[in-house]
Amino acid sequence: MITEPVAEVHANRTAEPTEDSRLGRPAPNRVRDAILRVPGWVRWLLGPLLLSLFLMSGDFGWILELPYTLDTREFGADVGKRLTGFIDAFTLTFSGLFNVVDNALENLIVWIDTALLAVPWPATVLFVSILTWRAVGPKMAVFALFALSILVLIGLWDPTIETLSLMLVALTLSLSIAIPLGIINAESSRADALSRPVLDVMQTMPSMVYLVPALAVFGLGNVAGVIATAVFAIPPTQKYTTVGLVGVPGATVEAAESFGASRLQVIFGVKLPLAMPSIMAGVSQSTMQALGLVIIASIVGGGGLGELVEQSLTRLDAGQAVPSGFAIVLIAILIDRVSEGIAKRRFRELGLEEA
Amino acid sequence: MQSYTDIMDFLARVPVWLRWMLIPLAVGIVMSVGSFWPSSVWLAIQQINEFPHTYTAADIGAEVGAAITTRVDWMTATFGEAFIRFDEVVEGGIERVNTLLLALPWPAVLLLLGIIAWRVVGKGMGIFTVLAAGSIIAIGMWDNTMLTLTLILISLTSALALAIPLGILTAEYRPIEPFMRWVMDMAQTLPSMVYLVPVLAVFGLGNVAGVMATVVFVIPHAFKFVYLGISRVPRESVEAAESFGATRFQVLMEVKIPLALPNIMAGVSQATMASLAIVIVASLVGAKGLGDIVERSLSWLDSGTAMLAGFAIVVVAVVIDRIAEALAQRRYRQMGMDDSGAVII
Repeated sequence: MITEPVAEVHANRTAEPTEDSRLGRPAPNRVRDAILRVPGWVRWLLGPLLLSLFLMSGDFGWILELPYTLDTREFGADVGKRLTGFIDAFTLTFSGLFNVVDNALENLIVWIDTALLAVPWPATVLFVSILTWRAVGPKMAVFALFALSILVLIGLWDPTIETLSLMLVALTLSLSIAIPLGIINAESSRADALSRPVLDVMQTMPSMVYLVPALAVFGLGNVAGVIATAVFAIPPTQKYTTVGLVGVPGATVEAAESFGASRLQVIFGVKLPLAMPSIMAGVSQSTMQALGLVIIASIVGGGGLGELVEQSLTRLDAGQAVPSGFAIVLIAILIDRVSEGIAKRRFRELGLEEA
Repeated sequence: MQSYTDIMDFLARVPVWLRWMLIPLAVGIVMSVGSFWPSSVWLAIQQINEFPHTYTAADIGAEVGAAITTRVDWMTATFGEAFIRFDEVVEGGIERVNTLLLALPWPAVLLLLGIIAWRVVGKGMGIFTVLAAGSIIAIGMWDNTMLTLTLILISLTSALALAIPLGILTAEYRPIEPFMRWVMDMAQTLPSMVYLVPVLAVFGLGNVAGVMATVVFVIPHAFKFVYLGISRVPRESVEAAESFGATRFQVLMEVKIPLALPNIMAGVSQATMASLAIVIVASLVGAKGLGDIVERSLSWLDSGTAMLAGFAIVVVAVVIDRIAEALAQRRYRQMGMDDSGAVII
């Protein structure tokens, strides 16, 4: 693409140099020649460069100042105000519905939190340790035992349990949306084409952005954080579910169909069990994402360990920030290993490699 | 006797992992039902149950906190000068880059971004980028966006400058490999907010704290790709080069790094997205930019402004993600691999 015109230029120049000089033209191809020698991507940069030279040489200050003028700022503030008004009107119109959801979730969270706290903590610690032992191994179980005992000892048990119950609610909500969505997307290519761009954008969005609409609708509190977390944790499970279902061998499905299985029977009896390893991998990813956002949700008034960290960050209180940060680290490691261990166990049970 | 075998029968029918769970269940029941116990024992058990909610636990926590505060204070007092100097240097760098970005004429920046997106991704993305950047200007978020980009730029370059050599070193020098893998695995499981805590203790509030948190958070993301890419270069290629008498350094520079380049680029693209995510959360330790606007308007319940800043963040994220991904995939195509062939993570 680049060499061809250059060759042409050279041919022109060697063929008719005399004609050019006879007509008194100053070698017309030299500039073009030089430009064509420059690599393509640099040539593209000439446009912005020339534009900026042009803008900076002339009297275009008013254009350059545009992003920083009062007018723009006022326009932005105006848009912001209108948006706030619109959102407020929206929430007010549907306040009945939102209040119902808000109360229901808040009650559920409180209920789960109370239930978990009512269990004597030695039983909970033992439960988690044994679970870790069965899912991962003895070393991790000892780690779990020590980690949780430390949390009890330094008085961080209540916020830990609150974080866990927030996560539990958010994750349950998220999975109950993500897995059906994954099944639908695997079964219908039209649904997949429709939802894929949305999910792709969702996965690129930084987690904090999810809190904005949740706050607008539900106001400060645990519910906004839980809703944001539930939405944020959808994409991994959904994607892995779809991938798992699509990856079920056609022969297996045909075998089931030839025995007269209906479509639903094929999905629930054949495809879902075979796709389980993939789904579990997605769930484990979603779990980690949910933990991450449940903690950040303290910005919109979520409770638990995140609240402690957030408070101490704004108060510059390292003495509180470090232990609660440490508690988050311990739980994150535990949850990660356990969910990964459970996902891998499923692989082994199905006799699959963990490829 | 009959009842004993009944119990064993029942136990044998329960799946193994559930059978184990009977232990905590039993402990839970025994520790919460008072009628099992003589009253003195029950009192002790109640005390154990109540322990996490007592002042004793809170006191231990407070003591630990106080001890940490003392250590941090000591550290700040001892190394305070050095931290302040470092802080000033980084802050100066941030300011310089930010001034430079703001001094660029915005129509040229728009054109530049549009052309980059067009050449790298496609025509649609080019148009989207120009429109997106234009709307960011229109809603008055331009300087905050530029500040966020500045923070990303600085922390990403520092993180890559650390992570790429570290990845190469780990792949080349086997003894440190298990340790580095362990550290990086651990680092990747931690929620982003945790990274803000030590940074706060050392650097206090401000842009520099945000940059430092971002650097530390981003390193594992880039490291993993570099390390895996280099250590999974086919043995045949390395052996071929060695049999022609290439030195270890030559093998690294001429064979391993070029072959690992697709993975390294994928790592860079991942690191970019990770840095964007945490630069925004870093508003909690006082980093400015778009995250700060979101955080402040969230705490003021000003959902309109939060939405606008959130919109700007999403737009920046989408543009950066698509460009970085396309750049990484371009490398695959150049090397004649498809994008499933190289990344093994």
